[in-house]
Amino acid sequence: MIVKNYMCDWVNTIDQEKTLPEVVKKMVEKKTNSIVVVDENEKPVGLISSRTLIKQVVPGYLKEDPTNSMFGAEGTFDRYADKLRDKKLKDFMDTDFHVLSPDDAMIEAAAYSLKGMQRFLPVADESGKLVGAITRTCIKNALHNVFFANDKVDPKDNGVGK
Amino acid sequence: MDQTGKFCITMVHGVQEVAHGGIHITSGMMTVALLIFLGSYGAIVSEKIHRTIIAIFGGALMIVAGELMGFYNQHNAVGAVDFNTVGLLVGMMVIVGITKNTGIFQYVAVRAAKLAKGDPWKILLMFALITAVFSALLDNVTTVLLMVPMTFVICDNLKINPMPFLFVEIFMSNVGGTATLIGDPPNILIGSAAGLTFMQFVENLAPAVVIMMIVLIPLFKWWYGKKIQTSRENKERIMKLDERESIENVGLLKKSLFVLGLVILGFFFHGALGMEAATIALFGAGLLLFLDGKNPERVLEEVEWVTIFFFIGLFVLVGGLEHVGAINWAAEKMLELTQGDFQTTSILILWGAAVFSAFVDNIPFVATMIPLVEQMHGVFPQGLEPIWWSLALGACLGGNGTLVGASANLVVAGMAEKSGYKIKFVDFMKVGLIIMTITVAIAQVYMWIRFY
Repeated sequence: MIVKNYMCDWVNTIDQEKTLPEVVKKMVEKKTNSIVVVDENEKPVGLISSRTLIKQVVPGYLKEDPTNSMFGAEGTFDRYADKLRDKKLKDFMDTDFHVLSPDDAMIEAAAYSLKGMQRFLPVADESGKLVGAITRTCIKNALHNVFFANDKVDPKDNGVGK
Repeated sequence: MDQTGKFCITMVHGVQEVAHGGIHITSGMMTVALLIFLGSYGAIVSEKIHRTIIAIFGGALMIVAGELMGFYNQHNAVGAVDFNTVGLLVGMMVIVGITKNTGIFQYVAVRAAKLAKGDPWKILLMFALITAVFSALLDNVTTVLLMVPMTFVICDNLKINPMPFLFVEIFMSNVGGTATLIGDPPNILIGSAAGLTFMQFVENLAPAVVIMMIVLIPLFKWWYGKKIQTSRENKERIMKLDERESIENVGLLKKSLFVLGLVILGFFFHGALGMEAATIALFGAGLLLFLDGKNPERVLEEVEWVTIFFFIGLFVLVGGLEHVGAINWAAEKMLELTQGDFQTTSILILWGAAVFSAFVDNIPFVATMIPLVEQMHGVFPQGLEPIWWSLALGACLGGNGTLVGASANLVVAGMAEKSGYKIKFVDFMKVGLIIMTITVAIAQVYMWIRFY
């Protein structure tokens, strides 16, 4: 069971020079919670998930202990979101992520999907170019096909919107 | 046996080694030990590499050099670690780590804001007093970690700039922390090494702290009163907050407050009970862990091991310097400078500690000064106690001088920056140096009246 059989071939990507509002727009349009940031050679250089975006909007003083937010003033969310208008992706994207190759075993994908809540693992070819991604749905499909050999799901039906 | 006694035995033992073991301290040993110490100190001050890494590496280097040259070894290094300080810090971190999850601190902050009827100046005053009292009874870093988030929340509701609040909380945490044995890391170090009790700190330093607060509060009103005005609508928003919402686990709250109360009571009587402050704190930590009965791993993760290992590394580093006789030499030079005059020595230590602590971390400074002061044992007819108070007052109050003067200052600045408010070094220093000068001057007059 290897990565190329279960990865989704289509991945939403964005350029690292784009801003936070632009990535939000694209993620809403594509109905996705994860997007890969690529350089000019289509090499994955960062990941943006909905969680990455939320981390930007919650101010430092509420991150340590969310209890304080119970008394948060109305308009605080808008005010902090407004400060993010010009923020570039390269300044806050997640850069600590594992890149799979198409021939890697699915157990590697499964193990890395648990590391640091990484929900999305880019897959790149030998030249480093992005060729796909493994999501948790891909891993779930692989698990299904182990248990139900006579009733396999289409591994490519992994819920990633084009 | 008290800590002073332990130290004397260590020193006597050290001298015996020199006398009987045939080990003679050479200028080479002294140079190597000083180079390791000053190199580590410089690296800590430069803040290029984390201070804990420097302390651990510097400490290890001192042992290796000592083993190779014969002036220091691992046995000496373990003996140099003040486990009373380490135990006190760990114990309090466990207790606060559990207690802070009960929502009590949010409850207190909102209750105070409502008691002030949403008036910004009165809230500032209340928060200043809470910060000072909490800093004295917990420690100042923990206090600001708890107070600053609620300060932002309240200022958001009032639609006012939180900067005056942040500045006042920094100042009051350092001033309040000066009052007790556990309030500020320099005091923990001094209390443990000199065998001074919590009550001795309260009796000797708290009156000075109260005077400082009485002087500072009108100054804060003059500086910030007009800058924090708000509308009636915003004040009403504060009055609508329900502080009870923050209390989610009443059972744990009761257990935490019971243990915290017991520990504070224990601190007041630890001298009379013949126990070290660390014994009280570790007993409280053990009791609360037992009463909580849940996964201890989560609680122990809350302990700032980075700070604990910083202290351990420093003790080992300073221990090396002590064994090579450098501290003794420095003490002699200092007494030469002050001509052995008690008052001049005390004044020099008070102001020297303040100026030094304003620009470099006061923890390594005090850790180095302690054995130096101990070398003055028997020199003054008044004893060493007033000298210890000079060191404590100088080191704690000096922390207000600049943004890097105390850990609490950096914690506030870091949290403010992550929340979109940058405290500039120069902006803080302009106010901080004034506060430092006023409070150290008050401390000087107080010392004059009380001890000279």
